[in-house]
Amino acid sequence: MINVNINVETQLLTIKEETNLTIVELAETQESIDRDAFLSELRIVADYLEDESISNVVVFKGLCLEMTGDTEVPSSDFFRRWEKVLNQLEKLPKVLIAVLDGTCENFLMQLALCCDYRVATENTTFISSEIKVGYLPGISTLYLTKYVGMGLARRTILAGIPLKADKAYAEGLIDEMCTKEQLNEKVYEFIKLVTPKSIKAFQLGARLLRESYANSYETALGHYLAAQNKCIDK
Amino acid sequence: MESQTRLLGIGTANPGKSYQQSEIAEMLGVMDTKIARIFNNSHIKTRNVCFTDFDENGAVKEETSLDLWNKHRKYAVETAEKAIENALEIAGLTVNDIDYIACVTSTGFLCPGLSAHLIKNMGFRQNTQRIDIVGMGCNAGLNGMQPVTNFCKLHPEKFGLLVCSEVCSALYVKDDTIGTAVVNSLFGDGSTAAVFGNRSELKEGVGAEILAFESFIIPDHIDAMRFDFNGDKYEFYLDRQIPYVLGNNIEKPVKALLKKHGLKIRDIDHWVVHSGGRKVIDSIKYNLDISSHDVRHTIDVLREYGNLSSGAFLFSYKRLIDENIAKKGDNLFIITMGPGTTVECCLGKF
Repeated sequence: MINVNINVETQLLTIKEETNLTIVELAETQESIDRDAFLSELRIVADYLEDESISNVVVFKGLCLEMTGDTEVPSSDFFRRWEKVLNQLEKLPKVLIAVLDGTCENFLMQLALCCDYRVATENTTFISSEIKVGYLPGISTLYLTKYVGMGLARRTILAGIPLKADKAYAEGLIDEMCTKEQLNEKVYEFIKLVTPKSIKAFQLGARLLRESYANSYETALGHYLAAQNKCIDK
Repeated sequence: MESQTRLLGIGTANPGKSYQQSEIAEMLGVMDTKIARIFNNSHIKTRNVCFTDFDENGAVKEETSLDLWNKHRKYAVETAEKAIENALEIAGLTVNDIDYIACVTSTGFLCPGLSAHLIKNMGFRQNTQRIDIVGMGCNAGLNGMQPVTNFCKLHPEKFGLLVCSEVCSALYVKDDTIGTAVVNSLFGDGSTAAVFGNRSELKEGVGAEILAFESFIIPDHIDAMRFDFNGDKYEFYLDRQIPYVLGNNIEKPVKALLKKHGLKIRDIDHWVVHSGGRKVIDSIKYNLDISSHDVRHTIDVLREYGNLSSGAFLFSYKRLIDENIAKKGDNLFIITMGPGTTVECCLGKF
């Protein structure tokens, strides 16, 4: 695995890459990270992944850090830019996997939820405290309802009650749960398990799943047929 | 500051009456359940159509080809006049200020063309330069926008006007075929007018600077959308594979235009897409990987008016401008599609 030098320097995020795997990691030396700086670097990484990286799997590591400024309400422009970069990541023709070990909060929780899968240790906890501070969590946190149901999502999002790993695993939010010692091995096993033969089929399937529950049968059928046509188009 | 060719105002107008989709099916005497399903499943709720002659049961009477030609001539001109008045008012201009007119229509043939009728009726200057674009179909609004904006770029002190006026109900035929049902359940009547000129600043109500156009034709599918003459009337034919043909080809012109300007799909902040039909919109959404939110105005215009042919994209563009969310520097991408099979693209910057 080699370190990738992307054109613009990043301080918080490092990218390592081998043939079919990219690892994006928040630097271990950080105790807490600046929200604006993180967003700027995430945009650079997202552009790299879309424009240059040829791997089909991207693993995000180190998402259980504290983010400075989480008690302050960001600007509306920050929200717009944040949602845009998460949307860009979600739409990449790649499998996104979040690897979690510890407390995954707020904006980093949103990033973890925008990934296709989550592999986490038993010590992992999700916390969404945005509403307690006075603003709304991002769209990917609102996806939580689809994973865990309204009851649990309501407690996590509206009341800010931590969502622990065992519960998240039982509800399908965490896809693979293990001890801290097993984590690295489990990640590689999981990658083998979920890497698709056709990344185009995966990408379109992931989009249709994200849009599920939202449409009437007629609308969903139209979307399905349009996606299937793209999928099988040579 | 260098002045830039921008859209200065859009006016829209619809002739006839707005009918529920089910009312139109009833007035056209649709009895077959398969055909009724085509009307009900189109994602169109209402459409303006010009039905003027009914029998004692409230069904639309059979119209001769002369009736249909007269219908086009009357409503294409009248409705365009209303749209032009509206656009000029928004742009703060009068008919005397307009130096160039491009008129687009595919729902009837007039000679002299629509532009001559509008100049006579509305009192445009006698030295107004003009062009009539006839028979190019739903994509033709952008084909008309090109000469207008080129004129404005060449003459920065002058103003150009684009008019798209389509009376699709002047092309309705009555029979029990599925092909006719698809056409009769899709198209609506409407006119748009857009004023272009050179303004250096982006202000409320003013559109994006027009940067460039890109055309793309798929000759292998020249017959996919076409007029057939049945010996009496023109019938419009739509191949059921059109959404997928467009979907499979849409990336080529879009990415080609973006590449020329160093942009990617992710750099586009606002999309204005022709309201061609539910399947066409779905196909474009999934092939460009853009969201339902990106095409919200396209979907809403289709729901409220049906496919308005060449002027439909200006109905959507007007809604985007009225939303007042576009910020200086935002990128705009316009796509229209039609017979040929054709994709026309336009890139703009607010």
